[in-house]
Amino acid sequence: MKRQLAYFVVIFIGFLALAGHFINYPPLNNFIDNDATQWFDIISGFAAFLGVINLLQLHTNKLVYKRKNWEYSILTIVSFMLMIVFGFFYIGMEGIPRGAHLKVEGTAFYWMFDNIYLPLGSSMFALLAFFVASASYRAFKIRNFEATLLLISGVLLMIGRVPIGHIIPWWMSVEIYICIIFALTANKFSNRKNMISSFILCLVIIPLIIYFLNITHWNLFKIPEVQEWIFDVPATAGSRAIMIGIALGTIAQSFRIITGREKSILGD
Amino acid sequence: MFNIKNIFIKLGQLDRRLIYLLVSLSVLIPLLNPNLLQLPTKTTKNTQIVFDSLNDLKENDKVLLSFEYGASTKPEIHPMSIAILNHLFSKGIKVYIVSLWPEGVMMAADAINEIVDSNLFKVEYGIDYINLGYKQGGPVVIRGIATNIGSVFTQDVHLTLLDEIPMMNNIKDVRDFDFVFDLSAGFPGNAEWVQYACDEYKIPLSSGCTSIMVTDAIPYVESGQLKGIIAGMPGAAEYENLVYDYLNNLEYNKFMNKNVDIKPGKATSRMSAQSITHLLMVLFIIFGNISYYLTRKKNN
Amino acid sequence: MILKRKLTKYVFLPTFIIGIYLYNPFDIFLIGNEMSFVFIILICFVIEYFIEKSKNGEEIYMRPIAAIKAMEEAVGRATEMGKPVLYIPGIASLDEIDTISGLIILGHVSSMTAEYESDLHVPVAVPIVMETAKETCKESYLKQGRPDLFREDMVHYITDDQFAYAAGVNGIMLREKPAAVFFQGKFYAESLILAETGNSIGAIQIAGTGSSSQIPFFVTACDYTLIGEEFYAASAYLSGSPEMLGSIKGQDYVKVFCIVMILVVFINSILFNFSLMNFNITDFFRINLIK
Repeated sequence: MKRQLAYFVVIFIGFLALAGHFINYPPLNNFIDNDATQWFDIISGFAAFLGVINLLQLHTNKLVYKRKNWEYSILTIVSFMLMIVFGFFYIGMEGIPRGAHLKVEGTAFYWMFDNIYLPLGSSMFALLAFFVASASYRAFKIRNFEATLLLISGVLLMIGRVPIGHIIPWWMSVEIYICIIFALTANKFSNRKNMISSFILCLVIIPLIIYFLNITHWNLFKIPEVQEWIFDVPATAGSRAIMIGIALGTIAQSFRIITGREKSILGD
Repeated sequence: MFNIKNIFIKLGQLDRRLIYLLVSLSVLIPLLNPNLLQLPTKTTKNTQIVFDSLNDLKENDKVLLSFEYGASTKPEIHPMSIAILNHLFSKGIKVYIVSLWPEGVMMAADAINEIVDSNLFKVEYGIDYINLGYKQGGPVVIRGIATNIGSVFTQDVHLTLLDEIPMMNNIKDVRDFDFVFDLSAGFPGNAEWVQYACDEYKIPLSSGCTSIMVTDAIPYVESGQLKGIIAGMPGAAEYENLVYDYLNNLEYNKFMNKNVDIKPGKATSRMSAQSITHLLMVLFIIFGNISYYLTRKKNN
Repeated sequence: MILKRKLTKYVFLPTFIIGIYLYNPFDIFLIGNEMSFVFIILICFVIEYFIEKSKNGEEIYMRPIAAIKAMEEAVGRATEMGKPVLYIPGIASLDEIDTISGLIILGHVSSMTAEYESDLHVPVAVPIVMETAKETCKESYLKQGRPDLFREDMVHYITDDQFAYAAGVNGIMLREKPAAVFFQGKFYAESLILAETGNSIGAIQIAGTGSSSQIPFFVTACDYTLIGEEFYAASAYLSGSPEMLGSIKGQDYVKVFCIVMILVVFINSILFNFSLMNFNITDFFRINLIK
């Protein structure tokens, strides 16, 4: 019975939300546009208490029974209590109403936000720089066609996006393209000497040909322009394709849920 | 020859801690000494579109500025917000600030305080700008602003009722604004502003976002639903330079305090660090590939 | 007879519903949402048609998706190594379809961990997701006949904050060293931090997200990635039931329809731009989802 009731609620609310977008009945429209989302916010707000209780329970248990890594739990509980005190009780400044003290500079809470939370948040985001470096170092290898495409577009974007890309002259761009082409075709050469001599020959002759043909102004030889083209054309196309696919996947998934076919979420 | 091969193979198998050390040095040294490497910043098409769109606005036009970023993305987006505010205040445009992220309120306060402390513009709260604060709900708040702003915001960040603020007279919904600018680092972001407010009511919208969000936003830029986009820190540096040149070339501006020096923004000084780091990563990728090629040949 | 019934259900009925909406008697429908209504009705009926077809016994071919096949292998690997399985259902709340999909896949993964008797650890970023995930795991363990293996602290809350959550999960990865890590849900910038840390501990990583900007990071750092709609199809794939597989086929036919429409609009735009045609089809497709 409990399971059937859950299915009924899911199906009913699903169709109600859909109806709210198409049926011209202001109370329903208002409910779907405003009230329903506010109900969800209120429920998830109260659910925050469950999260807090769960957090405290877990770490208190670890501390009391001295489970593995219990020392970190002390830090968690102390930090939690400190924020409660500064958020709800101690303002640290005269004349500031409770509530507004969270946004006013000079209060103890604001000090903690500015001097502890802000640097910690920025540091975690800054870790991305290191992880991007190690991930690209490991993953951008000429292993197969897709990895090669990733490598070429990654390198061009990284150079083109920063000011250093603007100062790269046309002939350097040509040399870079020649290096990429030879990197892709290196294993096609049977003789290494032939490969090296062709490579050096291309490095010298091709820029000269381009110079004498007077096409050095072409956007192809300006890496920032190539980077913009990659953004505007293939990246946008790929982004749109994934967006459409995700939208269709969302519709199909939602259809399965509101028609009661998706039972795994309720445990079946 | 054998030694060179071995060197390349070893270069391709660097310990990640060494990579992290080199990356941190490549970021730290230029940041500590910004004058070490000064690179010219060229403006890209999308940043120019944003600048031109805001530049076309007139005195007393109303711009809604939405702060949707926090501490972690402050280095990327905060310079944009400072540059945008400088640009808007230099034209006497009225700025209405909202925050759809809890930290957005603090970011907005930081940005405004920086402008006020610089003394570059004579701006007054309630006359030139107003901060409506943070409201929970994401797209619901955007929808509320689009249809009836009074249903979402009843007081400003200083707990003054909006009815008592002259700037809020005749502001009923998003149609009363001349432009909406969104500074976003995630959800809700520029896509939600397009979908729930600006596209339907044909209000010009532009956005400044983190570099990673640009690929998601580009389809909206291409279709014209977003008037250009300021992409990450390079975009912020470009916009700062545009505003810097614009302010320096102004012969007379009644909103500006001419005795105060105009300083280039922080993003510009950070671009040398980003350039060197990107070059370093490209070098790592090259070494990694050479090593991979030599190792594969050796194994074959 | 069967053909007549099918025609009635899948041709006349949607046409009738669309007709009623467009006719709009007594103004019962909102004006301006016609295009979205038409497409939603068409999509739903196409999906329903293929669901019925597969329920009637038609074989549905599904291309093999490596990431989904690897899920069982990953859990098996964790069992052999005696290490836990870490499942991260994203950082968004239950109002995101990605989170719901992640929880559905959690149901399948927890069934596998119950069957193989390996340890499952699910740190969450949203309390309401914690409750749902707990119920999902409990039901899966119960269904597998192993309620004794389910622990209340299997699913626990860390924090709402994005990077604090990433720091917490990184700590769990570095201390517990799980053998298999699943990233299934909505992720933002913390995705690479999590995936790289998982890679550094040598875990097999299977990711799936609807956040298109995070997919490249997962592709780079994880062993298997469910890209875009593969993630939403995963739950159907894992269940193997004809109904679910039929819905994926329906979805694919809708995609073919979208491709055809893109080509039609593309050709029409070219003809219109060169004044070879007076009709601009893009004026027709003004979608107003919310009025």
